[in-house]
Amino acid sequence: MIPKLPAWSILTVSAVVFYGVQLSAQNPIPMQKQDDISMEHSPQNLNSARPIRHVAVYQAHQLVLQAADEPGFLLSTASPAPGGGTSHPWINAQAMRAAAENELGTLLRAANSFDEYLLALVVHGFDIFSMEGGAAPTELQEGYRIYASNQLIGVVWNHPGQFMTLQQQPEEGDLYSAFASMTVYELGHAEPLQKAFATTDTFTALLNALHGQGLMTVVL
Amino acid sequence: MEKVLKNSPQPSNFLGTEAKGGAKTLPPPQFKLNSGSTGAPDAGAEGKTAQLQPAAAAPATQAPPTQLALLDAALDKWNVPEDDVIAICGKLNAIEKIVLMTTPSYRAKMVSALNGSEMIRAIAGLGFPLSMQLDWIEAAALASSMIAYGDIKRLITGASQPERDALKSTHWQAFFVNVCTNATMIEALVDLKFDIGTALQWLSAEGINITGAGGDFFANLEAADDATLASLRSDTTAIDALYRLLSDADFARLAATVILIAPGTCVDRDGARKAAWTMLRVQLANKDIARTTLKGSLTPVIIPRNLLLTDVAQFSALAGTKTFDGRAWEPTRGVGYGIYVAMAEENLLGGACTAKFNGATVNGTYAEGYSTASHEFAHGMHDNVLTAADRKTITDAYDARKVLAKAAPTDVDQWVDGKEGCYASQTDHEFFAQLSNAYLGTNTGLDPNTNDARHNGKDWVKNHEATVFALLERMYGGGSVANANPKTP
Repeated sequence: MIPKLPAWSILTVSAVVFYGVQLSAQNPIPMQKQDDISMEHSPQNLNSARPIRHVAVYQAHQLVLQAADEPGFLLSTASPAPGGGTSHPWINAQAMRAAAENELGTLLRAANSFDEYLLALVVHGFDIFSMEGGAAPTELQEGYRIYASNQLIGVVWNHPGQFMTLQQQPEEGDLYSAFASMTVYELGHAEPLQKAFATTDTFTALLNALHGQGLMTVVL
Repeated sequence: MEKVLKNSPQPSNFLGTEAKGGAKTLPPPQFKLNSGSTGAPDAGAEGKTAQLQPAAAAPATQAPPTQLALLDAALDKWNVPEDDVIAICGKLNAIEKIVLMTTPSYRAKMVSALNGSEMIRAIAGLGFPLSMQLDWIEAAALASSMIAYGDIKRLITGASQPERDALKSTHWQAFFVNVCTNATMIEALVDLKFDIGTALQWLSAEGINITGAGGDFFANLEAADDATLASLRSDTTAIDALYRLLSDADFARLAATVILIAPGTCVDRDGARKAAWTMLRVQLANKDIARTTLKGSLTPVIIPRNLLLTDVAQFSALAGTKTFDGRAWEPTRGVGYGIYVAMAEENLLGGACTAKFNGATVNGTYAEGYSTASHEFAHGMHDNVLTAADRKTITDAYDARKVLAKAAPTDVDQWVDGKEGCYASQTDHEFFAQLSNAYLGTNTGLDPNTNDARHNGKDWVKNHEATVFALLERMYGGGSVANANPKTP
């Protein structure tokens, strides 16, 4: 049985152009419960999108940032100034790799929202991973960026995790796979990508399913 | 095992072509071997063979021969029954053992009669000093290279330390070099429990050369340049050997000494190094963690108090760039950058940072007693040394605490740094590094975000974060860092 796709993944997309690359962005819309997904590794128990997204940002294989879309502090790998940390109105984030901080901070200061910031990170070669719990893996070894023609539409890792889009993140434990994690950068491709994520039972099968859709994967 | 005689044959058993245990060309002497003898010393015995009588002449009422007499009889046979000799040795009483030990002719007879393996069995229960046991074994063996360390290991481990220390001589060094392979020499030295200087000397004789060997090992290391220390760090054979040879405390000292880089530009290089070593020895108290650290690449680097972070070679690539929160990297005083962990000299020794950036003196002063050095090194261990299971312990504790703290946002006892929103509440990494500081006693002062007083000390960690406390106990073994960041300017 092919599981029914969540409604949120086939919503109309409003596209924006950011840093010269077309990517999609929209406001979060409540997810609908899916009761008919039976495969153990498949997305299931999807009740709603998280009110606060928590993502990990990777540069190639290395974790470089953990971020949540809520007011908070900007934490550097440097010791905080003796006078205290730096607060921020819409992001709470900690840099995890000093060498990437300059670029991460520059992009942050140029962005006006969490969505804009995530888009900017993707455009500049970073990748987004759905965080569960308080910490993300410091390294993700086997990952592939997914392209439709020459358009970057997502990333997939051979690592247990969730399916998410830049705009919406399922609750912890929902849309979870024991062997893969996937983030969709181009919302118009969310449906077929989620279908592949949900209906395959190995990472190799997942890659084959993506290739079967005419998509290209490029190793990170 | 048949032994080939290497010494002049003893007249008592020399039969031309016959070796011990060889063809029985002559009938055995007709002595009666009374295996039921108690072996009690005979007060009237004047000589080792005094109780031996030809069986045919023995009066019916005569006391049975002593074990020593039986041994004499056995050793005097043309064809020595080695197994009987070994069995008799096992039955000697205390006085007989002393007689055997102190009568030179016995050594010669036993050496002539037994090969190395047989000698090991024969003397196993005699209570000889270790050096004498090895002397007899060495003499009995055709060559010491025919002995394996496993054959004599039990003798080494069963001896007292003074007996083992009595082997510290060129003779026994050569003996062990002949007996041991590279691997078993390390095993032998672990068993011998020698001081590290002697152990390294013996390793060198075996062909395992370790940087710093010769004289005072730690003094040599502390005087070595960075390249020499890096060479030792990359020598996995040496590190593995030292892991086995050194005590936990000494291995922590080794690791601390080897991994630290202290630029010659430090204002008080010796003082800063000693302070850093003291702290690192506590944080590397777990021998396995210390070995993982040594085998990895985590490297603490002291930032001189009069220099900017980016003036130090390991961090120079950050010059002209900014931190994630928008500060210039130059005046920051602590960071984990790749494999390098910055530790500010002024934080190790107290006092002010005197470096200038854009014409102003850098503010590098934290609360007295608060250590950015131990905090940053905890980060380094979190990311580079701890296992996935350890990291999960931290993450799980952080997640659980986050739920509790959000439910009680004004409770200053939720986090080690105070209420929700404090520095330790931001991520699992800061949570762990601040708990680590509290465990070590280096978490003084106020939280920069909330102005709450930081909690400090093992008791708070134990009572509030039990699982992380258990991890820190395993890591630091109950240690504390005294007198961190000792004085404010």
